[in-house]
Amino acid sequence: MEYEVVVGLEVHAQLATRTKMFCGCPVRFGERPNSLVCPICLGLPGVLPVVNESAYHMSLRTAVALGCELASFTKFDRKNYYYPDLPKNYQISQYDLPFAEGGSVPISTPGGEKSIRLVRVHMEEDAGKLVHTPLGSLVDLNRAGTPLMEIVSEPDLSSPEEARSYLEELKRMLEYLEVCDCNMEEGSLRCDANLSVRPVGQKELGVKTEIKNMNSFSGVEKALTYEAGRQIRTLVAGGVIEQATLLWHEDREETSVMRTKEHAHDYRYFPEPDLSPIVLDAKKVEQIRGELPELPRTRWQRFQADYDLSEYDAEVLIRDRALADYFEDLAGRVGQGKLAANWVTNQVSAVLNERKIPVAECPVSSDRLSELLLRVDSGDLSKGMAGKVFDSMLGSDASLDQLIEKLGGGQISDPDTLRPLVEEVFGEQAKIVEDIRGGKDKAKNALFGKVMGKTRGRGNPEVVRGLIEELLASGS
Amino acid sequence: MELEVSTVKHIAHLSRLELSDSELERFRGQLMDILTFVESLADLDLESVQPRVHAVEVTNQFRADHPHEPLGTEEVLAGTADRQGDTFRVPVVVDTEDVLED
Ligand SMILES: [Zn+2]
Repeated sequence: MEYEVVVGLEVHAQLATRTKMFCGCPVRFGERPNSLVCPICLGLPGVLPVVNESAYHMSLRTAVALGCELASFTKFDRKNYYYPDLPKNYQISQYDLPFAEGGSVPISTPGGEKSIRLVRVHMEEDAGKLVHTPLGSLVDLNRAGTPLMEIVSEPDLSSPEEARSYLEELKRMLEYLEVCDCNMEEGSLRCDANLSVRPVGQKELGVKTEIKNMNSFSGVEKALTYEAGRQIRTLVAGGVIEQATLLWHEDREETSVMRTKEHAHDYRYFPEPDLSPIVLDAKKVEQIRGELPELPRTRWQRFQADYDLSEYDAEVLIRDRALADYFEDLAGRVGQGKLAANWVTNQVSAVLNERKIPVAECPVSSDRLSELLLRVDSGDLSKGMAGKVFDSMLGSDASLDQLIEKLGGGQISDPDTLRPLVEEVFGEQAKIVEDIRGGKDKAKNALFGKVMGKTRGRGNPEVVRGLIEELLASGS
Repeated sequence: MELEVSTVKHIAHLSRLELSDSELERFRGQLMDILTFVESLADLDLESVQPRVHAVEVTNQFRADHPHEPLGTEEVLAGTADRQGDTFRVPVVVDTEDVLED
């Protein structure tokens, strides 16, 4: 029997605010434990949380970009459970009235474009961090109260590869929207998956398991491949799938069953009495809609159409919004999309990868690179020489001409190199030479042009003119 | 309103409370009183009344995304009985079973 895989993803994206969701504690990674904590995020009695306006607006921007339906009225709820990473004994989240529902994320699959529907998007606060040791669990509350957006997909994903594509597309969108820095290693983008399998053709979904602790895109793909394989093998062998929460272990490339000692699914949600509800401001939504950047997928399609790029090259360029901006500026200046794309995906990307720097810190600006590419495009510089010039640009602010000169790739000023070329032209253009000797001084320009043509424009004009005079005088 | 002892036990468990049999009985009675009191709402004609999520009619209260000064690690940990380094230490709360076998 053939089985198909059904996956739904829950993504937690940390909003790129300066401060926490309900208090002014700074949001920073890697600080001294419990140094970014105040009475509000510590859950001390008598404090009052207040919603971070930036967090709300970033959430709105995301929902508008994802095509969600925005709730005209939304509120926060308390999700009650006892766990030491949660100082208040409840998490402020959204339950029955999330601020956004529906929407979708478009992905590419081997069979073409596919739209992955979303169930909902809601806002909530993060919990603290626990480190488990044999002698106890250690609690750091720096992360407690960090603003999160939870984005829940329908089980529309049919393979681990699709799950990865979905995550990559979502990540790019969040980055373009500047609402999340999407650093999976630092936990600013986290993903849990629900996976089940069923015989092809069967309508009802199989029993699903939840997989947690996947810390990279490749980890998600590997974990889902592992779990799908496990479920199919279990069913083929006549076994049954048990509903469970599984932890993925990246190092061992396998899952284990997660057992929280007291795992209560009875969260007893109720409206958060300390926070006022939010009524949607239609004007604000229109403003946000008007300010939306071009989204990565639209840009990907436009790059292919406008610059005649392959799907792959366009994809490499749009992966990073700043790199795409760099490319567009360069292509505009040079007027040659393909040439610009080649340089950005090769030489420029190589430098950025090697130095592990963002494109904003690239030593060669798009403006400067455009000067170089214009010379390549006009044929003044060979590709090989252009590569050398680019390399020297990385370590020098000297002008393009100076760098070319230094590399000997620019003007040819050596008379011994130029003389044979001039002689060649004299041989080929006997008629012009005769005209000049007959008094037609102006014809010298034609001769000069021919010599410069032979040097591909690199001849030093003064030296070339001197050599022409010299040969005219020698009478040869 | 009637309440089973098992329900009271469940609620107590969710709140991490260990109750003796006599306490269970006492709280069962108190909880039933509370629920019966709330149930009296059912006697009212509320057909035209919209559900409310909050006691006051204030909406859209926000704060600007400006940082304030946190308490600082020492002050945060000052009241804890069990400290390890800069962290609170609590009894182990999670353990994992061995790898799922096929
Ligand atoms: Zn705080």
